[in-house]
Formats: sequence, C-alpha cells, structure tokens
Amino acid sequence: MPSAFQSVSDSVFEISKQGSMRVPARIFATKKLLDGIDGNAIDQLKNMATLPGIQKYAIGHGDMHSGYGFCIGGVAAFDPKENGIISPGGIGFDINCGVRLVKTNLTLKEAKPKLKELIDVLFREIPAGVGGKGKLRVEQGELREVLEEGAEWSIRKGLGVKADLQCTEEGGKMKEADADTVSSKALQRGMPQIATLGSGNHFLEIQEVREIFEPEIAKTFGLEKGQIVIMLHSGSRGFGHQVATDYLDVMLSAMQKYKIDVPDRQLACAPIESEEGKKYFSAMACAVNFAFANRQSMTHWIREGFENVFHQTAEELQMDLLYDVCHNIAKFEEHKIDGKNRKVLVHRKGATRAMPAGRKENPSLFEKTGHPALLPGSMGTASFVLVGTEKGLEESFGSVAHGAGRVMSRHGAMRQKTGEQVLKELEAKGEIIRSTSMKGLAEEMPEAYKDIEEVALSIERSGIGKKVAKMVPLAVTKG
Amino acid sequence: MPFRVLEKDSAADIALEASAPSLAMLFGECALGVENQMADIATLARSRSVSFSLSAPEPEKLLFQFLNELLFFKDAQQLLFGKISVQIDEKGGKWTLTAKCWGEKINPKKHELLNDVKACTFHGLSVQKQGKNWKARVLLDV
Repeated sequence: MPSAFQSVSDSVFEISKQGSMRVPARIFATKKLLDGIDGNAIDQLKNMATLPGIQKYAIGHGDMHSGYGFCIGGVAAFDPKENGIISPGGIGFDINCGVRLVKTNLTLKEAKPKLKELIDVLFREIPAGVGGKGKLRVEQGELREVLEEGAEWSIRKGLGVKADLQCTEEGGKMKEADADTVSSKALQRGMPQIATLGSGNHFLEIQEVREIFEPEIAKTFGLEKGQIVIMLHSGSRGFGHQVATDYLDVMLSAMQKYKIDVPDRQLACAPIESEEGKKYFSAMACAVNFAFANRQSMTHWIREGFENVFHQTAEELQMDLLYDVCHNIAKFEEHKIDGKNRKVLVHRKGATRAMPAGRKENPSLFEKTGHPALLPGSMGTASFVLVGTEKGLEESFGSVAHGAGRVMSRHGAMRQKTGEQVLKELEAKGEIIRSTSMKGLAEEMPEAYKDIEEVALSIERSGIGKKVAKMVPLAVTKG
Repeated sequence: MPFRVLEKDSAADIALEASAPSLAMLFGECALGVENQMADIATLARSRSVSFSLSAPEPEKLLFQFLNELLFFKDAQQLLFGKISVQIDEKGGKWTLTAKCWGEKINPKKHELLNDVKACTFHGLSVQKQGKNWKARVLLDV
C-alpha cells in the first residue's frame, strides 16, 4: 500500500489533509486496485481536494486513473455557500458520457442463431468511428431544441417511447439548459453527430445476463438469468467536447477575476454562483441533453434492428429501457454534511450516480430499490448492474465507479498485440466483434483495463453499492 | 517525425511531445501529431484546404486554441489534414497565428482511421524555448 494512505477499512483508504488540501482524499478500492493506481492519479486526487468549497472528501473510485484536472473515477462536491466552484475539468470533455441498458425477452438460445446478422445490422445502422456522421439531418434551429429538450426531442421525433424518459437519469432532460450559452462552433460540431456512437471505449454490446446476485431487486428491474440485453456507451460527441473547450478558456480568465489559484490549469474553475459558473452549468446541461438525445436516438435504431432480424415488434420483444446513467456530469443534489442537509454541486468525472431507495431522484418504479447503476466492463469482459446504498450516499455522495479504468497506454497496447490478434482471441471465446478500426481494437484489448470483477468487488466490500446482476458479452460494435 | 507519443504519461489519453527550430514549425509539428492520432496522414489527399487566424495572449493558449480548431474541422466538416503551414507573429503581448491546412473529407473506405480525438487539454501543456529549439508537450483527450 502506498505510504501516503491510511486504511479506514479493507476497501476504503484515506490520505489525510496535507499541504493545501482543504479536505482529506478517500479511495474506495480493494488493496489490489489501490496498489495499481498510478502516482499521477493520486496527485490529481490531492489537487481536487484543494478546490474552494469542497465538502467531506475528494473521492476516487476503484477504477481511477490519471486524466486531466480531476482524475478519472473522481467525485467531489462543492457548496455554493462556501464559494464552492464548478470546473469543466471535473466533468470532462465528453459531457454526459454515459451508459444505458435495454432489455429484451429473448434468451441466448433464441438470439444465438441470429447474432451475426443482428450485429451486422446494428454496425451498419449506427454510425461509429472518427468524425462519424449521423443519419439525422438537424439544422441549427432544431439543434437548439435538442439542447433544451434532450431525450424528449428524440421521443417527439418518434425515436422512442415516453416510458424511456422515466428510466433515464434526469428524465432525459436537464431543465437548466440554455442554448444561448453555447457557441456557434459547438452547434456546428454537434449538427452532424446526433445518433453516432463515437470511438475509443464507446460501444454497443449485446449481452447475456449470466448471474443474479439480488433476486428481489433483479425482479423489480425485470432482469433474469439467461436474458439478452443491450448495453450502449456513448456521450455528447463533438458538441460536448466543444462546450468543454470553450468554457475551459472562459474559466482560465475567470480565475484571475475571482483570484482563484489551482495547481493544474485543467482544474480551471469559477464560483458556482458567478456569471461564468452559471453560464457553464447551462452550457453543460445543453451537452447533457445532447448526449441523452444521442443515446435515445440510437436506442430507436437498436430496436429497429432487432425488429428487422426477429420479425417481431420492439413491444413484442419487450425492449424496455432499464436505465440510462451519466458518468461525466455535475448536478445539484442534497446531501447530509455535518448532520445537516445541504445543497451541493456534485462533480462526477468517470463516476456513476447510485442513489439508494427512498431518494427523490429515483423514478417511482425504483422507489424501493434505488435506480440501477451500470458498470460496463471493457471489451470481452463482464458488465454489472448495481444499486446504491445508504452507506454510499453517506460516504461517496451516492456515487460508484463507472467502468474498468485503463492500466496500459493506447500505444503500449498496440505494441503488445495487433487488432487482428485481439479479434482472433475474442472470436475464439465466441464473441462477435465489429469495429471501424483494427488499431482501435488493439488499443481497447481487455488487458489494457483493470479487472472489472475487482472493481465490482471494491464497490461491494466498501459498502457503497451492491451487485444485482452480471452480464457477459456476446457481440459488440466499436468505433 | 519531429513529434512523438509519450507513452508513460497517460494510460487513457495521448501525450505528445514535439520540437522544432521555430515556434511556427513547432505548432505545425504538433498539428500533424494530432492529425496522425486520428488517421494515417499518409493516406490523406490534399484536395481541400482551409485557412484561419487565431490570437491569444500567450503561446500555450494559442497552441490550445489551434489544436482544438483542427478538431472542430474534424467534426463540423469531417476534414482531416495531412499538410499544415503555420505563421506566428507576436506584437505587444498578442500572439497571432495564421494557418493553412490541406487534407480531405474523412472516408473510412480509403483512410486508415484511428482515434477520435475529443480535445487538446490544458493538462501539462507547455511551449518552451530550449536552446536553439522550441519544444511543446500536449495531452489529448481520446
């Protein structure tokens, strides 16, 4: 265990306040994961703890690794009444990168003979890869509607059903979005890219539910062993990237105005209640909504793909959305701090909200269980459905890890194996892969990531979440 | 090429380092470094060109803006560039860049496409004169 850490439990470790840290830093990880966290990520966690208005702890999850500004897998909450800040570096360039899970009533036996045909249809119908251009033609005026309506826009266009909104974080729309706060450049970047997957670690995966850990919760979620489900991972595309880029520049100037010093320029920030902070929050909300519309629109084509291959309607196939979660976002939430309920701005950068039963954020369907929190694995590995706990609410602002986290650089991965080798190995395991880039496939090889089972274990052992179901991949499309 | 990937600097993102005898050439090399993460630039024809100017109060900010401008063209117009020419002037603390970029529209059937770079970040971004050469380091979000 790195010497800077004190053990709070076997899966919770703390760095006490030191130097200019305003609060301690805490990591929710098994010792095995802790030992593998790179030094830069630890430095970034300590940097997070220096930011004005930060509450309780700067938090890192088991999948944490170095990024820019905040570490990836980082959570921090800021109180506006204590000059708390908002920082684009605490959210990421891919605003509302997130994951959704769509259910079906198909079993592996029913789906297996059609998997190749199905994945080919989905690979063809859902654009992916560098500069991927979407099938939807949206002019600037209509794009403004996307930004302010989010997934509601997609439903209005016939790209989904109203029930999908109830099973999407924020109901698929952040109301604070104001299209006047985004630049013309962001609009131009976004227009061609609605309903595109992206590349890198974004994916569309057909999975089988392999194991159920919490039968009663799984029943509420409509999950059972042997069921076929579809996981989709994508974000706000070039639109969100431009919003983050624009406001990083704004924040750098704002810091001089508000006399804020940060140890890393990528942590550039402004007070939440400043003009700059409020504008960025509204612009961020636009990007959040773009991503919701993006994932909702792609869901429609996933359903169409299944309909065409199985010759049944999506309703007959019971292709309901289980849930859609964000993992790069900042949200105002009420949390108990020093015994009092306080409204704080929770930044989650590569971290997933996991609100337990009884929280107002949960739709009525998940009132007694808490909403599903999705933990996607890397290519070729398992993924999990989780729920949050009271302990998670208390100790990590209702947040858990968002995935497996990288351990190997992209170029390092490409030197180890070619895309063709990775493809061959995964196909030998029975998985069907479709990718726009062989080099991209090499970069995303399973060995480049942490062990997702260990990440899920760290969530359970630390008590901040519970496993509900485990899914294994059958077929995947990647950009 | 006078840019290289710094593998140890990031697992998830791509860190690049470049050096050149002039600031303008340095920016050109950084730009090619970014383009080369998105596609094999040897496969890009030079059938389209764009020109633009940018200004900033310091070279680091100018580089940040310049590299992100290339990413704007990648998404807004689906353009990738294989040849980039840069001029930089400084007057009264204001640094101004004029660039001309040649390339073509992204074509998955023709081009070997790699990473969809999201942004050039400010993390560890540096532009410095070291001896006779200019050196830069950038971290790209992928």
